[in-house]
Amino acid sequence: MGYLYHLKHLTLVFFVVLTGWHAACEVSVKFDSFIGPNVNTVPQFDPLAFGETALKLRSLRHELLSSNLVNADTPNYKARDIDFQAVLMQRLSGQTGTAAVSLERTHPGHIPLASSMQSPQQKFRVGVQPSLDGNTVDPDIERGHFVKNAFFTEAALSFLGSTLRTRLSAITGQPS
Amino acid sequence: MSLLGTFDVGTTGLVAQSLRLNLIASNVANAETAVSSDGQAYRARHVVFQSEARAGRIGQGVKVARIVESTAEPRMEYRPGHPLANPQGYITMPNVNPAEQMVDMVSASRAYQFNVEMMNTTKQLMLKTLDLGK
Repeated sequence: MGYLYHLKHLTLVFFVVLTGWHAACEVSVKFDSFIGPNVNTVPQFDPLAFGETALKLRSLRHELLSSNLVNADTPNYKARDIDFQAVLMQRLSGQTGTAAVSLERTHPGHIPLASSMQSPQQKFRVGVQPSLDGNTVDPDIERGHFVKNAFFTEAALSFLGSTLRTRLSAITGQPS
Repeated sequence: MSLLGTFDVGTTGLVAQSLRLNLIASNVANAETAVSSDGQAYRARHVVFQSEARAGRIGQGVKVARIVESTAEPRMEYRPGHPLANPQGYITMPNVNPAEQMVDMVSASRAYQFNVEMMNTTKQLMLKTLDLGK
């Protein structure tokens, strides 16, 4: 059981770091829903799948935040973001539940195509001091989110890397 | 891969901001040009930015939708001896406001720096991704 115990805690640390939580109370609340009511159960998500999903979403958010920064001077542009934690849980539990990006059909005879691109639901950030031209991008806030997101992407990469190394050493029997 | 898409987004920002800087340079250089090539006093030019959605991508770039000439009234300067002076002794000077141009320039250069910084961060993240599992 010792192994499972460590694994559980490792995954929790994983989760906390990747989703960017810092409040301890929030962690304890989510702990049950994440691990399950029985603390002796195996973690719900495979670290590899978890790392991959987190990394994908992180890089998606990276692009979204960079587009906010680029449009800091565009009239009527509204800053957008995704609810990372919600989308991550959604992806991990196998639901897409989001608006799919699909090809536009300009003729009734066109065959509808199921799109493989699922983009997470985007939300608009509430502007602290919106400007007169209708732009709600606050460069300081966006930069803060951007840097934080980059940092968590690095964390995700390093966790995923160490998982890979661990598995590799388990397969080859050689310490990596 | 979204990280690669960030480079595209960043590039659109660099292009748009450098065009804006170019126009500011033109405005400042022509601030004292009484007659421009079309026979009229020079008018300040400004860019109009527009966000640019890209098919299937989450990030939006920015593009220069159009370049507009300022509609502010030209500055009338009393220079009776000037060859271009009207019968009342005034010449028409450009409507360039130097303070406005300076503020615009600072804003453009900051935005440009943000973009460069953003692309640098993205580059580092991609290099880290290449090292995954090593």
